[in-house]
Amino acid sequence: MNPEEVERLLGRVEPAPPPQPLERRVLAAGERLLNREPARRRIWGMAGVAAACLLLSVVVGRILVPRPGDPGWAPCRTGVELETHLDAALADKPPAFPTIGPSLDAYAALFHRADAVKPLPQELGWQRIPWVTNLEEAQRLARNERRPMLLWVTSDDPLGRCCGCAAGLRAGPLSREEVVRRISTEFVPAALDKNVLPGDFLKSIRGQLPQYHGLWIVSPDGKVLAGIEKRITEQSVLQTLDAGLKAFGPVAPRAVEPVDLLRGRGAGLQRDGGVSLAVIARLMHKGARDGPVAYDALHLSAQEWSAFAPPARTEGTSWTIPDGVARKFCRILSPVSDEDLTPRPEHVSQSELRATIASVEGGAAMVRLTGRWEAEHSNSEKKKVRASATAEGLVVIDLEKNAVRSFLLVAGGTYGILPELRESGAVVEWTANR
Amino acid sequence: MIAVLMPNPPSAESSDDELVGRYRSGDLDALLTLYRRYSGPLYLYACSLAGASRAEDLVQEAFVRLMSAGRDRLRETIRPFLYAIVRNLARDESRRSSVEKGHAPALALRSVSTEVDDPESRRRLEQAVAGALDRLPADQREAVVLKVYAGMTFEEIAEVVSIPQGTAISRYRYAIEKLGQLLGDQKEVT
Repeated sequence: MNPEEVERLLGRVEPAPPPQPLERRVLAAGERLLNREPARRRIWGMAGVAAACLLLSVVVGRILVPRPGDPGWAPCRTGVELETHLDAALADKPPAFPTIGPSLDAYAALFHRADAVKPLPQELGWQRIPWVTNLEEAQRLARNERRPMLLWVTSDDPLGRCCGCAAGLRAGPLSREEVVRRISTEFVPAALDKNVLPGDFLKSIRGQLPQYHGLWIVSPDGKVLAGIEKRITEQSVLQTLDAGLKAFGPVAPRAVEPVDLLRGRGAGLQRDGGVSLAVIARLMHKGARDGPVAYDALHLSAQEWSAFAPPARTEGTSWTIPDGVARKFCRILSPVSDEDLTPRPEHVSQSELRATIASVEGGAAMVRLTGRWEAEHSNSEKKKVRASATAEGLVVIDLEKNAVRSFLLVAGGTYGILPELRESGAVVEWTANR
Repeated sequence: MIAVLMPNPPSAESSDDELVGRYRSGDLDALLTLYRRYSGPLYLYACSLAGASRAEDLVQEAFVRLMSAGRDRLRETIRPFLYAIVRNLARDESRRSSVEKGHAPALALRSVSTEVDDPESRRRLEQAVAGALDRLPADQREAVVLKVYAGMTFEEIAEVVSIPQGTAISRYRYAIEKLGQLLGDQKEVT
């Protein structure tokens, strides 16, 4: 039965009326409420209790939760590397594989699978905004240029794994042309992780406009002019920008070239000889995009990277990537942006990554990758997150230099908070050319 | 003349805000109008979350909270407010009691079709749809009930269930696909 038939069938039945006694019960309860003492007294009583609870929670929170400057304080994400890189200009093209040497025609299907996961150009507008990622720098620029700041405050790294709503914001309103233009030319835009913001500053802007995260428009001297947290659409963002500018006053147009904040990920060697592979993942539905991109990165040391070097140079040579390295690829399993919902290597129950030299031609070895992973963990809300994926990939080895030229791995599988499992897709990319 | 001096009786066209205001002024008929406007789908939703045995209490409590909520809490439209209350209450109860966890309650539906006239066919249609809905995962069943029977937009569903709008859309879509499989052998009742 097709979806239209199902919806038609569902429309042929309706909710049965609730039992008759329920109507009498509701009316009786309504009558009792009307006869009760004035609500004002009750509201004052509740307000008193709420104030006492708030005071108690602040005191207890101050004692139990270390803050910057306290002994034992540490950022939440110590040791977790979450940067990524995707070049907007390459978004709708295949990876930057070498254009000379071996023919890549045989791998068209692999590239096609990768393209189906990678972000569309219209999802990447947010990267054209000249974000700064440091509050002090944003304040300095705002003072010098006499214009308000637009602070995008997220509950994690706004440029990498962050909460789902921030990921939706990146792919949606913050990538719309008019929003990109207005933010870039009228404001000093700052993308900030609330975990590394000075506590006093966060308290100050939240005190003026209570929002957990979202967008705040703030004057150089710290006065909140406007903000938005929920139901963020292109329209509501533009309205918020208007409100902020109305409160601040007119500003001269600004022309600042965006800095590629994600440079160095997915391209080139790091100083220590390791690499930062760009990871993108997203929910899929029947092979098509079905959610915003989760941006991530996978850092391999020089030694771990060398595991992809073939032990011999003949076709058919096959080897297994060490389990410790294979496990690190578990980050491809999570198609949602939230770090809390992303498995770590210790959560992996099965992992396997094998490499085989498929051909040797033009001074290059074409290495086929095949892999599979399974992982399960409980998130901070004690919900079980299960994920599994299989992957295939291609590594091009420059035999003359004995170095990897490019790396591509495309994964597909299932992911979800049990019992709901959904289709997932991921791409891991790297190229030697920066 | 009398008609001019008497307050207008609540009608089916009166807005929700108007009805709440009238109720607070002591007009119990306004509550009755609101109840009849929302109770059917709301009761079905409560049944889908907590079973028929608890649904009446949840619906009653939702209306009580609606009537006693301050004006600031009613800035949003009333329908999502009622559904969110029912959902929160059901969730709180399921946390306290594990007895009904994972249980897919039977939904009370009645046929509105004019094409299927004989009582037996109507009964089979109602049972087929209710049975198929029962077999859906709870999240997906919730999306269908809110979309089809409460008439909500995906934006409203996302607000009630506290999920992104895209998730609401995909849950509904998965549910419809699964219902298509479950109802595939029910073509004779269609």
